[in-house]
Formats: sequence, C-alpha cells, structure tokens
Amino acid sequence: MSLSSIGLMFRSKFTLVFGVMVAAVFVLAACSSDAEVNTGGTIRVGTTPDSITLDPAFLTTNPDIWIAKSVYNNIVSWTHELTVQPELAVEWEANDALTSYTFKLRKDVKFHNGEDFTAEDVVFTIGRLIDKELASPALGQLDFITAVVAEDDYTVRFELEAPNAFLPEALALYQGKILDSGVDLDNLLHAANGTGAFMLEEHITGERAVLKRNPDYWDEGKPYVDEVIFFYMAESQTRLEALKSGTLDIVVPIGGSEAAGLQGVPGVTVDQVSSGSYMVMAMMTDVAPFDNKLVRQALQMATDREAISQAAYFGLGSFGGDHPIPPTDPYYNPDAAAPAYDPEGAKKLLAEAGYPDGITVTLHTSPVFGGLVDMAVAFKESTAAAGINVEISRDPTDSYWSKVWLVEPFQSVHWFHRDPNGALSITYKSDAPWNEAHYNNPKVDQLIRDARAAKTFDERKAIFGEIQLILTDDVPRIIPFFMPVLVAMSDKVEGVFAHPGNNFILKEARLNSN
Amino acid sequence: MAQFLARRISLIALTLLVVSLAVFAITEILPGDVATAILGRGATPENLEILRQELGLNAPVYSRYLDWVWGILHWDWGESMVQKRPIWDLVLPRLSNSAVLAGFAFLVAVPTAIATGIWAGIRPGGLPDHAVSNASLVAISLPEFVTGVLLIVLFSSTLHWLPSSSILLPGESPLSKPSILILPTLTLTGVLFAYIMRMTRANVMGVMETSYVRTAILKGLPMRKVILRHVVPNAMLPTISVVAMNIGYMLGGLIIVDSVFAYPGLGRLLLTSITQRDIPLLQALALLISGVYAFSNLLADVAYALLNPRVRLG
Repeated sequence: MSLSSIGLMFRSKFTLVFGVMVAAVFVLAACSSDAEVNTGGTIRVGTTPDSITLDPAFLTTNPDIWIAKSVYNNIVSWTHELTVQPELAVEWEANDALTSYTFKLRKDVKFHNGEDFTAEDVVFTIGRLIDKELASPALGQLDFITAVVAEDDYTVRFELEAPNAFLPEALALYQGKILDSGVDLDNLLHAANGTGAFMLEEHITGERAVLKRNPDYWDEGKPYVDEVIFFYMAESQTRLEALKSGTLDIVVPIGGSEAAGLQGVPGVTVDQVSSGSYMVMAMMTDVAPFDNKLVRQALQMATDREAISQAAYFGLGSFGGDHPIPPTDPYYNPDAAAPAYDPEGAKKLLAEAGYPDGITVTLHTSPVFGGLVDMAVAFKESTAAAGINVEISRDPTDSYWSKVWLVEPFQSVHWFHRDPNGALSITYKSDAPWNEAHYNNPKVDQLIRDARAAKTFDERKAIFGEIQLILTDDVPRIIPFFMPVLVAMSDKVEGVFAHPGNNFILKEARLNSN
Repeated sequence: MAQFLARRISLIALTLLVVSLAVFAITEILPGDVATAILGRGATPENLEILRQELGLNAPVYSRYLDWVWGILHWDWGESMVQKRPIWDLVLPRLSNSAVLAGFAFLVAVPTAIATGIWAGIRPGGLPDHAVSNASLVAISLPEFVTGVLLIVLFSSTLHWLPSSSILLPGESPLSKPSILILPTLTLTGVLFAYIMRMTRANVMGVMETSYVRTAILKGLPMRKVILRHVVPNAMLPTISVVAMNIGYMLGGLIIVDSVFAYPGLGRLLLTSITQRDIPLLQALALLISGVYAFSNLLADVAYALLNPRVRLG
C-alpha cells in the first residue's frame, strides 16, 4: 500500500479513517519484516474450562470469546489504543445526521468452506443479533439499529433510530462476529465456518479446541503458526505448572496473584496492559440508605482504592473516577478523578446525612469473577475506620446473575471494556438494560444523547467530560480500580500481547527458534 | 443362585430408578438451569423465557422426567443440551480414559496394600507395623487435591521427572502416553492403598488370634503354611467387600484427580455437566456411575459366596 492511497482514503467525507491508517501502518510493517518471521509450529494455550458455545451471538465466557476471535472476524475491531479499525470492512461513512452508515467491505475474503464473504453475511449476522426472538446478550447494545440493508455485494447500510456516532464501536462487540449466511446454526460448536485466521478443527467441551491455520486468510502471510490448541484446565495451579514446565506456551486468563507468582520464573513472561475492565460496587439510588447522596459520597470517601487494588488484584490496578471511562480512553477526563481516601471526612458526611453513629450496609458478592470477593473484604476493612459496618453476603455463583445481580441494592460485579457511549448507555441511562444503580438522571440521559449526536471528537470529549464529573460527584457506583489484562507466556512466543479490550489475538503469534 | 442374581439385579434396577429421580429432583431444586448457564449475564427475564421455550425447559418436571425415562427404556440416551451431541459419543471416550486410570490405580494399590497389610498384621506392634500404619493414616487424611498438588510440586516442578498435567493432543490416548498416568495413579492410589491395607491388617490380626490358627501353629505347621493356608483366605473375605466399595469411592476421587491433573476422564465431564446444568448428560453419568458401583458390589457378594461355603445364596 502506498502513501498516496492512504491519502485517497482521507478524502471520503466524514469517514473515520483513523483505523484505516493504523491498518495501513500494520501492512507496511508486515511487508518489511516478512522475511525474518518464523512460521509453523503449534501454540498450546491453557485456559479455564467455562466454554459453553461458539455461536457468536451467545459468547459470554473468556475461552469462547477468544476462540471465536481466531475463527471469525468482526467488520471492525478494537486497536491496542482502544480506537476502532476496519477488519472485514474497508471504510465507512455516516450521513450528516449520523442516522445512517454505509460500510464498504473487503472483496478478497473467503469463508473457511471456500464461499465468498459478501454483504449478505453481514445482513444475516447483525440482523440475527437485533432479532428479539433470538435473545442474544448483544441485543441491549445494538437495539438502536433499525435496519441492515445490502446495497450491493460489498456495501452494507445501517439505519439507526436516532443520531449515533458510536455505531462502529458497537459493531466491534464480541458477539458481532460475522457468520456465513448459509451456516448450520445448530452445529457451530463443532463445525464453525468463519473468515478468521484459524479454522476450527476439533472442539471437545471440557477438554480442548484445536485450530488449524487458514491458508486462504485475507490478511496475507498470516497467521504464522500452523496450529493453536486451547486446553480447558480447571485448576489455575495446574495451568501455571504446565506453563513453567513447557507443556503449555500461553496461559490466559491469569489474576494478579498468579502474575506475582510468575515473577522471576525463568523462560516465562507476563504481558500486562491497563484496560477499561473494572470491578464495581453499585448502590441502588432509589433504595434507602443509598437514596441519600451524602451516604453514597461517604462510602466513596471511605474507599481505600490502593488497598482494594492490592487485595483484589495484587496492586496492579489503575485508578480513575467513579465512572466507567478508564484513564487509557481517549475520552478520559482527569478532572473527574475520585476523591482521596479520607475516613474522617466520610464520618462527617455520614453525620450530615443523619447517621452520626455510623451505618450498617450489606454488600453482595460472589466468586463469579476472580478478585470480587477480595474487593468486598478490602472494602469492608477500609470503610470500618469511617464508622461504616459493611456486612458481606457471599452468594453462590450458580444464581448470582439471575437472583442477586440487578436485584440486591448493594452489589459487586465486574465489567469488560466498552467505549464510553456503550459503557454509559448500558449501565447509567435511566432506561439502560443493566442499570445496576437504578440511576435516573435526566441530565445524564440528555448528555449521552448529545454525545452520540455530536459531530466531532472534541465536542464529544467535552460532553463525556461533563458526564464523568457528574458521575464521580453523584456516585451511583463505586469503581475502585481498573483491572489490567494479563497474559502469561513462554519466552518462545512472539507476537502475542495483552489487549486492553480483553481480546486475545493469535494471528500474529509465532514461535521463535531458541 | 439364579434366583439370587435375579433378585439382586432387579434391586439394582430399582436403585438406578431412585438415583435418576434424585438427580432430577436435585437439579430442579438447584438455582439456575441450562438456560442461565448459556446466557450468563445476558440472562434477562425475556431472554431466559425465549431460550427455555426453545430448549423445552418450560414443560412440567414430571413430563420432562417421563420423556427421559421413556427414551432410556428404548436405549435412547438423548443429546447433550449444550454440546448438541449424542450422549454416548461424549461419554465413551471419557469412560475408557477413566477405566484406564482406575484400572492402573487398582493394579498398583490392591496387591501392594494386601501384601503390606498381611505383613503388618502378622507382626502387630513392631516397628514396620507402626511405620506402615501411621503412613496409611496420613494417606487417608490427606484429600486428593492436596496429595495431587504435592506430587506435582515434587515430581514435576522440582525434579522435572514427570508432566504436571495430563492433557492429550489430538490422536493421543492415555495408553499411548503412559507418563501422564503416573501422577494421577499415585494420587488415587494413596487413599485406596491405605484403606485396603488397614482393613487387611485388622483382619489378619483378628484371624491370627483365632483358635484354629493357634492349633495349626501348635501342631507344628510351618509358619509360612499357616499364613498362606489358614490366615490369608480367611482374612481376605472382608477385604473383597472393601475393594468393591472402593470402586465407588474411586469414581468420586476421579472428579478431583481429573481437575487437578486436567485428565480427560469421566470426572471432568460430570463436573462440566453439573456447572452447565446439562441434565441429560448428568443423568447418563449418574446412572453409569451408580450402575458400576452397584454391579461391583454384586460381584463382591458373588465372590464372597464362592470363597466362603458358609454363605448360601438363594
């Protein structure tokens, strides 16, 4: 690709070309270093056994999301800088009102069964996700799409119910992986047909998934290794020992204490990147005592974030405000950081709120995610100095999502990275599907709508900046820290990185010769 | 004998029926079902309703149970709700892996445990007896997940002699890669050895004190002959029951050993079927395991009768 063709792309009106540029740089870099790249070999990955489906519409667990990432492609995807880049799309543009988007698609893409990838497949896949009868967890993030239309074989148009600058971000979601429109939907766990760098050769639930190199992959020359095998292993100790002894090449996911345990182990490195994933304690703002803003602020001020990050993630967390936009995000507002730990100040706020003798609250938690229970315990300890007695209810994992989450007034959960609009829309808008705090602030609702309709980055940044200030002041949810994404791997592995969007990308993975 | 067998087998059938009812009832009481497992956090009430309808979970309990029983009676074990594969295709490879592991553990544990038990039992109170008895107490008290991790740390992480996990590449089986069997076998053997050894020792001690053994010794029979002819056959009878009971225990131990070593056996499949609430798969595994348990006990009873003419079957 020449520089002039990049220039050509810049000319299209109101196009988000940033991603195209990143991709172009990648292509240039790949062209220059092709000669030295080692190819071939098998990469063995140890992961958790919670695999349940490879139907993209129902991806929710880590191993499923990661295997699907290698087998399928989205039309757009997240860069390491948390911007959106084209994947099966080449470029896109929106109308001036931001209510209609046109995506141009790559013409050189084939599915694993040899069929051509066309606009029809995008219409099928996204149309399926926004079908209420399918009940995909992606519905809540895509339901602003009213129609998906194939204009020709390589052009797709999306119609939106209201102006929204964040359609590309929304389409980069885990569940947005493009299926072949003629696929047998009942057999996706064993016979996936994607466009991705690897083809699914074998899938045995609870045992392993075998992926073979796709020789006709559209991103030429990639992937570099012949085979990737994911092993489902229940015990984290077993996974780590297997990595140390060379039986495995990569172990994901790992938590903070596991990363600390791997320090200084010869032949093993841990790649780490701060991310937008976070743990949160949400308070229902319409249930006493959390309906009193002073109580919420007292809890906020009594939160020792350093101590909680230490307890729950071995001190690897990064700190932002009490809102879901992380310091790594281009839209982050540093003025909206959370107040420092001040138990005396919290005591005063509590007295002002009418609780001079302290207060007792019950925090629900569960080991559904590594570190959640540790966060709750550290929170209990940090708030005790302010006269706040946190009783911890440790609930069973089996029913946490259906019986506790969104039901109990004070609960702890985790969230993976999303773009600012996505994160705010699904958890803070008054009509959000996962409004954990029952937050109902017409001003924030309006600002979110304004941000979606704003035409330039600077306008959007100003609006999101204001939302961040409001949320940190209003504290519907306490977000003590943002989690890093960690990948443990052997020194033999190159080209694999921790991705801030919790994507695990193997198409550039290779094994060096030593 | 035939009448005895017929009665016992029909009792086993009844047991299996009760087991299947119990498993069904328990999974009904447990919070969550296969729909919440599939949807995870996406389990909004509307989504759950749609998926339950699709999976047929909305039918009343009794009708789902009767459908399942009807299928079993026609040797139709059904499909896994999550993996959408025939149950037997999932169970058979795991069953053979587990049988290999359990077989190895028995081959190692039973002869050594019996030999050690006899050896310790004929000289109770000596130093070797104390050593073996105390060691076996430790082995009984340590759960497999502790023994397993200790063995990994020692033989794999420190000495680098053996692989730390029992993962298999495509085309491999445990028998084609026996090194992966050693640590799981040792882990399973620990408790098994200790139980059988202690039982044998106690029985041998008991028999040694009987008057017929004293008579045999006093009439000048060589000690060797006393032990082989009189002590061992009599002391073996209760040991047979212990071995048979331990087949049931082994199947439980397999769940933990499969997890610690990532061994592709029945235990992991069972655990997966429970966490995913995959009822047809769980039912099939529960029936299979209780069936093995019941039949091994039946075998023990028959063996008991054949060895001991005082017991009459009928």
